Amino acid sequence: MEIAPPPFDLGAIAPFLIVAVGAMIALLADLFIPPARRPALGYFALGTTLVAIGACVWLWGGAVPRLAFANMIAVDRFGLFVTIVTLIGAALSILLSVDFLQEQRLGYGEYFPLMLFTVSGMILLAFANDLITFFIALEILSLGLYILAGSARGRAVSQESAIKYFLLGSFSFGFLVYGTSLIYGATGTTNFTALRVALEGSGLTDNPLLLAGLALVLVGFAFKLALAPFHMWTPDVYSGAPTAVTAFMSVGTKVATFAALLRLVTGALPALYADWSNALFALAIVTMILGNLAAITQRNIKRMLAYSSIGQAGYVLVAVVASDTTQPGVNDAAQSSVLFYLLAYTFMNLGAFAVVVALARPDDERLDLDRDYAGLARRQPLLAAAMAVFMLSLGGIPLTAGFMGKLLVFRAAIEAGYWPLAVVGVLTSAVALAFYLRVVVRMYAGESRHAEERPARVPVPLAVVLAVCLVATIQFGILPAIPLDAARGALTITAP
Amino acid sequence: MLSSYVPVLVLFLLAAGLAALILGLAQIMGPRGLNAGAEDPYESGIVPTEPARKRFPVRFALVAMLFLVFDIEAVFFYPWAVVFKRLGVFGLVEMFLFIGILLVGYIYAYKKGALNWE
Amino acid sequence: MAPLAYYFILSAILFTTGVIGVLIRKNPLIMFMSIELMLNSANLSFASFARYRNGLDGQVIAFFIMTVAAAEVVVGLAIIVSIFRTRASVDVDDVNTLKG
Repeated sequence: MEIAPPPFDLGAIAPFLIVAVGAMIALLADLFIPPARRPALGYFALGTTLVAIGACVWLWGGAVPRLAFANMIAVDRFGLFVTIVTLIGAALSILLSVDFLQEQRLGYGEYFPLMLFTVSGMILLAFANDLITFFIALEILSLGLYILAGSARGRAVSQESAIKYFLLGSFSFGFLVYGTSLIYGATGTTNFTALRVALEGSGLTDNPLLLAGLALVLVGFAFKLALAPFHMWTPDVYSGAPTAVTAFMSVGTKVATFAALLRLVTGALPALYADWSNALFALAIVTMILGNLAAITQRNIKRMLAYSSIGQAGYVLVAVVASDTTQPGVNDAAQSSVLFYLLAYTFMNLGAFAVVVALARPDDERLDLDRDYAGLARRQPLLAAAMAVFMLSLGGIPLTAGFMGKLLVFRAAIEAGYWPLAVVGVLTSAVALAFYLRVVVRMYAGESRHAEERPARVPVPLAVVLAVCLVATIQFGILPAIPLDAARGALTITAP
Repeated sequence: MLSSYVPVLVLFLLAAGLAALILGLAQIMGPRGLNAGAEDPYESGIVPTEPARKRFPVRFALVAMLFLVFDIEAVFFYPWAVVFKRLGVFGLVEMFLFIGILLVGYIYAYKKGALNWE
Repeated sequence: MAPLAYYFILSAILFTTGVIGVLIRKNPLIMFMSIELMLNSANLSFASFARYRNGLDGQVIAFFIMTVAAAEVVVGLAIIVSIFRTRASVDVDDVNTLKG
């Protein structure tokens, strides 16, 4: 008897294939080109991400939504939107890295192939419609990042960052896998579509096995997304990894993992809304408070940005909690605000890290807020102005992307009846302004320690990154219509 | 049925025959008398060259890692081999793609010199 | 055949042992072995649930988890070896340059 293979729908996973094949080509090319020509690999990687973005745009207008590979993959506009955001983040991070690696004498090694492999994992994560696909994607992305975090070999902080990230990442993976086995035991499936069908109107929703499985899976997600109280690894990992890697992992991982979380809870488990929304509600409140309070005391800019990213994840989580599929209007507002916030966050956070990269010197990474950022406006007015915009945007000042994001998120929370979340969100945003504005004040009012030194020229790729982030941050704040329409058009999480 | 145990019997005879052959060869060809290696506890006939409590070179870890990662991929070959005929051409092409991807990793490891002992 | 509950309880015990191991041990290698224990407890649970439900997918999933675990071992060992080369100690309490 013949076994009929599932339809071989390669077009559906075109963005993933492009990046994965690009990664393999880059890996092999790395063997055959002389070390001096290695930066070319960076531009090859950049080209790969741009082609993949093109493939996403092509799919966006094409036959979506559709399921492929025996329902393991769901290609829909939601996944495509997230993929495009991830790819933009990756492209900007690659531009960020090209000169940074050379200047810090980190060596190129397998940096760009690893980055592409990681991106391919992120793309697969955005399309995963089965817990197995989800695992594999998560591991592709995590394994690459563990190595990238330790890519400054010989630097103690980088090694420490790698081992901590590795141990905590694998630990959380254990929770995810075991939780999934319980869900499988309770329902007999790991497929998102099948799970939704199995749970609808069944008596299973009170099954203790299922609920325990859900709890463990959420713990795994909380580790991966650095939600308090599962965030302890984040500051160490973020500050120890090379800055360009930190920039990449702070945006790409968060965007793709949030997409997977949203797809899991609203696409597969809407029947358990009461359970997961309560759990995420508590996590969101703790995350917003702890992340923002802990950031206040930080003097190291990378640690501050790490805690800030924890707080930002809390705001995204607010909108995830509000994604109640039984109220279509509320759900649409909530999910589109998640997408918009992730897009805005990508630009403003990458922008902030780009400034940190621009200030780094070969002998000194210049990370101290008091020593290195004081009086920056007098020495490097353009960089200081850019940093000020990113800080104000992360803090949620009007006319910036961050403000629009927060507005949408809090409005969605209130519409869904979660006003406590909105209140905590607004209060913690006010607290957060303290440390975001402190950077601005230092830059414009402080006395410079490096006054006598000639400011370094910003390399062209880095200038491009700064310009793109700056334009996007301001444009999304003043005219949010274009990205917002795209986000609203991307709400169809496949559920045939 | 008893006849289904015939392969087991053949295997048993083969194993016993091989053991007898090796022991017999050692009896005929092996050196006689005591030497330094034979007097040691846990002797295997080979004279130890250095103490056993010694740190292994990092090379061992490297080879172990490479072995592990390529070895475990074989797990996918077993279910594939069981249904190979029923999968038809699709199965063959699919497995070649899989091996091709592994090959990329192998070429990389080989060119980087990870397989050279020296 | 032993009832499903026995397998399930065994896998839960293994998982808990793994979690506790990660939380209280200091040596990354031991922590890492505990993580492997967590993954393998999930394998046991997948395989026994698959048997109970007369499905094959649980066993196939166990294959995938095994390969993923192997890939993790390799990356983890590589990181640990690279740390060991530079400091000759792998106690996590000694790996504490970053704080706060």
